[in-house]
Amino acid sequence: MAIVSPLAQPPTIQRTYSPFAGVLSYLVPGLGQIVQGRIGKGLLFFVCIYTLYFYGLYLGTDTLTFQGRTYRITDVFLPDTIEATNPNEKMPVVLQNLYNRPQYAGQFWVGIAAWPAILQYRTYDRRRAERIEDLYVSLGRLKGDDPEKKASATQAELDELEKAQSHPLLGHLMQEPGALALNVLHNAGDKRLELAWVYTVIAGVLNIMVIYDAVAGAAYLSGDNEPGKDVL
Amino acid sequence: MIPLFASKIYWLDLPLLVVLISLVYSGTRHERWSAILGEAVRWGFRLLVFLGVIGVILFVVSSM
Repeated sequence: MAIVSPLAQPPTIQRTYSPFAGVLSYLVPGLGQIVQGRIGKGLLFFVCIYTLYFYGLYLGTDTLTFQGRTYRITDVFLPDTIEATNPNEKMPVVLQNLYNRPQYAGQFWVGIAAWPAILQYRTYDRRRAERIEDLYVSLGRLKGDDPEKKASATQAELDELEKAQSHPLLGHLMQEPGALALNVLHNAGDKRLELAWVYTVIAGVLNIMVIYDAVAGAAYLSGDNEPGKDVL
Repeated sequence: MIPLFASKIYWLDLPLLVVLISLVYSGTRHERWSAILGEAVRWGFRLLVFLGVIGVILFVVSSM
């Protein structure tokens, strides 16, 4: 009768690493697995992660109307809040901005679907955004002689600035919402942004595990996980 | 309508979150459908218990 030592090690299975599949799974969740031939599993990741991400984006992207004005909000964005000319600050400006919006550090890992926020960040003009908010406020406070004429001139400047602030390709998609928009939202007791970004951050963080799966395979590699008829 | 189900957080948002997280997490652990689905059910149950305990604690605290 054969004696099996309790210390006997199970047979080890050699992992093969595929960084290229990891890059593909970063770009589009599950794409690396699909390219590797694990199509069912790739589709599972694709559907689950994009459902989480786009549901969160849907919940957090909206327009609000308050006192006759329309404000845009979104939950996936990278804000431009730091002066680039501060000589005392050693950290790169983009990292300082990320520090002010750490959610994007999680959202980034969902891949291409989070890149519009980077494009918006690169073209966002903070001075122009501040001027737009000033005009929003001053429109509601026009007094004195001929307020209608002043309002018309202010509105014309506002329309021109808003058009310039809109990205030529993306419009306002994933563009930083102004402080006024966030104030309107929070003053109304609306917590939807706080729920929405949780979905998008979880989607991004889960995709890190999907990238690992594409690079090195499933976490538990055992005989049961070897390719067979029940494999995805 | 029962107040608990008046908000879609309870019957749509949270269940969706639990199901999708469980499936993706389990998908990264195993390679076989049966193992993935089994692990997903176990993780979904654990998440529901965890959230349920927090919900009960918050309910008790808010009722005191």
